[in-house]
Amino acid sequence: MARSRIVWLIAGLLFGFSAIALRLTWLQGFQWHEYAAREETHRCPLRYLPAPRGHILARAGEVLAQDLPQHFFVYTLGGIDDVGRVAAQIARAIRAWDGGLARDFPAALLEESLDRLRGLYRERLGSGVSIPPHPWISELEPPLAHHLARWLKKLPSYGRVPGISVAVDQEGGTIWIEPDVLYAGEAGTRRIERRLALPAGSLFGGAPPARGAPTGIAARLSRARALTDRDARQRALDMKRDLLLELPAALRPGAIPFDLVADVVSHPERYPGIRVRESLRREYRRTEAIGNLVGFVEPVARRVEAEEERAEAAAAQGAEAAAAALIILDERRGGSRDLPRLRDLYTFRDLRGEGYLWGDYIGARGVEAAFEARLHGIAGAVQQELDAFEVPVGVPRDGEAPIPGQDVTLSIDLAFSEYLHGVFAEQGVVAGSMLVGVPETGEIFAWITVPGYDPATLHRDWERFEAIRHLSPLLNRPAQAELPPGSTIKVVFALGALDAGVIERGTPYTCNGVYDPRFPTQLRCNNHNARLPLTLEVSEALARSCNCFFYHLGGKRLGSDRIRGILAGYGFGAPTGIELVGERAGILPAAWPELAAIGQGRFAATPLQLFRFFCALANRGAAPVPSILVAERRADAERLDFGEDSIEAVIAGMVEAVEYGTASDSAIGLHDFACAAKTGTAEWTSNGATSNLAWIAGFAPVKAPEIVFVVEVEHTSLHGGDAAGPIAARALEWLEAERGYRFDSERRSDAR
Amino acid sequence: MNRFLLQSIGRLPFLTLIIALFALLAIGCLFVHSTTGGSAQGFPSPTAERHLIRVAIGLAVFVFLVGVRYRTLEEWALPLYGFGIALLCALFAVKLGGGGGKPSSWFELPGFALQPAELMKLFTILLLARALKPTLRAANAGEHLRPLLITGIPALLIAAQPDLGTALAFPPVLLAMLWVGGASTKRVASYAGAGVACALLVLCAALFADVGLRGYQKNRILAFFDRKAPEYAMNEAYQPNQSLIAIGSGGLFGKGLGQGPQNVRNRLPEKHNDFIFGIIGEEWGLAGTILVTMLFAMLYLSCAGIAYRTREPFGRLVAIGITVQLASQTLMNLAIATGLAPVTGITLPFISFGGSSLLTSLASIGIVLGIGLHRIPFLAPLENPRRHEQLVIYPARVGR
Ligand SMILES: [Zn+2]
Repeated sequence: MARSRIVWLIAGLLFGFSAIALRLTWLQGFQWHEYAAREETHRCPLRYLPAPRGHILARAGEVLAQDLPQHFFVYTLGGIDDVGRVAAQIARAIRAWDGGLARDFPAALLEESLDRLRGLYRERLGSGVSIPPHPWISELEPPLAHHLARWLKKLPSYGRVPGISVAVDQEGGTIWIEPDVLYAGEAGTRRIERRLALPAGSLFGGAPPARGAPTGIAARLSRARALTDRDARQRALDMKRDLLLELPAALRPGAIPFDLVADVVSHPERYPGIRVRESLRREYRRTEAIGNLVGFVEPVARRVEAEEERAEAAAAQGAEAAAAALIILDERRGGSRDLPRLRDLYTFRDLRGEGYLWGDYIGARGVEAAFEARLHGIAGAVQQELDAFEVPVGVPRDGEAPIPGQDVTLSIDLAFSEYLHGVFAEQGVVAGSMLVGVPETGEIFAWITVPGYDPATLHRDWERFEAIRHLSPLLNRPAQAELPPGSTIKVVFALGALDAGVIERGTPYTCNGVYDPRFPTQLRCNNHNARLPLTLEVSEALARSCNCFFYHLGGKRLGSDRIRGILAGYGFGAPTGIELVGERAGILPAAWPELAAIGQGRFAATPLQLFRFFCALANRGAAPVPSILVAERRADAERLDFGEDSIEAVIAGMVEAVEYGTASDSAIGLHDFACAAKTGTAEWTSNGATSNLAWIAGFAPVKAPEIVFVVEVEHTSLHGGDAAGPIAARALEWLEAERGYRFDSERRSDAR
Repeated sequence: MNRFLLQSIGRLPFLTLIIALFALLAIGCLFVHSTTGGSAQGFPSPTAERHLIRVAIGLAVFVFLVGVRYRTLEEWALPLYGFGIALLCALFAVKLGGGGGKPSSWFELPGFALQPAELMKLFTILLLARALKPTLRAANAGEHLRPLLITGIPALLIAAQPDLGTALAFPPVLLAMLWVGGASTKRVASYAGAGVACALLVLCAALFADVGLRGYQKNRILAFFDRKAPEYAMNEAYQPNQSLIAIGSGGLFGKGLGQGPQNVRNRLPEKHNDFIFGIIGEEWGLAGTILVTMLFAMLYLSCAGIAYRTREPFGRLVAIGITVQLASQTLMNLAIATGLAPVTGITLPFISFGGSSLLTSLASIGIVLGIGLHRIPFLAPLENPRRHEQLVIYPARVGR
């Protein structure tokens, strides 16, 4: 019987060892890859290399935006300040002592005491003078002191509590602290403060309790420690943050001296929790002339936050979250655990083109946003072995170089733009915009927005912008301002009516100054006050911008439906298709055909739509999609359905406008050029005050047009020709002088 | 021919035991060297050198015990047991007497840390075997009181040190010896059931009412169930996690002796001691771990085989006790290293760096081998097998 029981025991032994063998086979034979990856990521984490964004260049190669390298410091709260962990460890040890009194001993008490003590040493930390050890808790009961001393001695190397020691004697025990070691993280930040000549405490913060709440890192620390959810607390302590965010604005990007960077890199033990990161900074050319076109970038982090807020708001309203979230390659954010965490090179290779790094920038507005896909490069990464201090060892083992973004060359003539921006300022324009471009291709070489911003100084200008908020300084006016087009739209209706055979060249109409006696102030004409009543046909009506002619045309001959048809046929009410994002469609008029015919009422168009229409007119039919790129996307010009005769009649009207009509005043200066133009003045009520919105749009020279211009001036007391005309004239002048255009040759030869 | 074959098979346990034992000792020396900063060139690292000296001392004890007639051990069982209990009590006296920050589970001897608990395991088995021998067929619980006390006293003293891991080695030994000693299966099973129930009770009390276990013991158990919790990740769960990573990343053939990153970068605490198996897994891979597991199985099967062949009750019981004790310690250590059990500080016999443990293990195996070699003819009257106890005669050294 005993022998059979021994056989059973042997069977039991065999079973036990087989179980272990199976487990080993599972771990090492089947889960090998997973554990190998874990081991490798411990040892050789991926270091991400941001890709430089492409340059944004102006027509002549001037760099408008480029990426420059910069160094900055990142820190983790948990790495910079160990006091919380030390206090928690000691509290655990006290709780583990079965003396009976300490089952619920709180760590917060110790932490507070250690935080108060650091106030004593604040001035000396990081100054290079060593601080002698200091008794912290004395008169401990001997058994507890013994327990703590034993505990301290037995601590494994990975769980050490630096800067703490216990001394035991007859009376009891004392816990000593070594401030230099215990507060090493703060000492590191103090060292940085000294090197940067910052006021003491500006980085770490931590005002003594008497002087109110702590600031800076200390404030973040106390907030993180106050979190009751342990996952959230750990995340807050582990999260990498940008130390520059704690710095005063004057010491922003690139200001860190290289020797300090070198010191932090080569002596990581002196700066616990602080690491150097190299990143790229977007540098903009300092100019306000085309800031709204170039736009600016924003940190990916901000975009993600905004996206999350939007998703939350949508969820609150019960709606489905619409857009796909950005993929962040290097971090897994707290809430969204489904985002991939690319910790190994293989996955990184597959997915790097589809996401952003946490420190990346993303185009927020203007060209930066419109050409995001082209400008944004593809991040690289190297697998770098790190030692216990997270300091790189040797050369990176393997990796992928970042692929820089592609450059974007704009068709913008920078010198011309800066000149025009100056002209706007000279004319005292508070708000307005201007487009100048080539009719044949739709290529725009001047894109002015006033008020504009300088992307290089944008972050400092917010206060100034606050004061002019009613002028919408961030609006990219040519594409985004929806404005009543005023009399410039008369060209559209004249052409439409002629084309449709509603009127003909020579069809007369007599203007009495008032169109409908029932509305003497709304439907009147005072554009040719000196000559009333006046009988005119379509060309002269355009030249003199007679309202009554067009009231009649719109109200009696065309009607609302046909007005909408003409506008839609000429591209109004829809975006032109320029490369920019956020282009507006304008508003087509629904009622009041009389008012719509002179570009007033509930009717809005963007300067870009007018630009496209006048390009078509200059081309005698071909309407290219406006573009801000050099020599791309040509030959796809849509042909608008213009009759030859109708076009010539309309152009004649515009030429006459310059010769004797609304744009003929010598103060305007257009008279000297062989150009065709149409002025416009829309009455505008904003903020309770009525002002004029002045327009001029046209092209030059008349016969083979080389440029098309659209100028729009808001908040002026002048009429279209007087406010916008001089700007157009100065533009033509400059182009003749600097770029070799000849707009005046015909007229001057006539004069001779 | 047939006779020769039978003889060979009869000698097989001794052969396998010796092979397995020396192979394990050699692997132990290699990995103590590898885990204590040893380089490929200079073989014994300072720690490995100390380990080698201990192996040598242990082998001397082993050889000595192989030569000793184990009847002598039976006579010495009680004094040895008393000596062990005295040592344990002395430790307590030192602890209660307020000996400062001295650790409480070993005596600091010159060049050697004596752990009475390790010796006590062997002494208890010897006395237990002696106590169980005359009661092979004992049926009532009263007869089991003595074995229970013999095991319970040292186990409680050790558990109070506190060294729960070592104390837990006693119950399985007692149960196995009782069972092989002849107690009814039902009774042994009920003891085992009671023991498990007690353990569960203690566990529940600790987890839900916060009494009984110490904080770190409780945390180790909690960490076993939630290894990824941030609260334990850098504390109680750190070692088992690192051990799993070391073993898992070793793959089929490992990274080579002294080449394991977890080893070189000191990621695995206690890697030369309780967690040495993790480094074997990392550096020798599945091949190495299966080899070591098979060597252990071979060693303990040989021991059990010796117990099987031994008809003399004391020798058989001692052999079974030692086999079960060493095997359960080994299995427990391997289970901890592979993440199948919560952490308790126990060493891997014959491989871990260690003084008392290595010495005791080698001494134990020496005794088992001695039992096998000193075959005492056991003349059981075939006509009345039920009464063989009274008819046993023990002639000295017959048949050698
Ligand atoms: Zn009129």
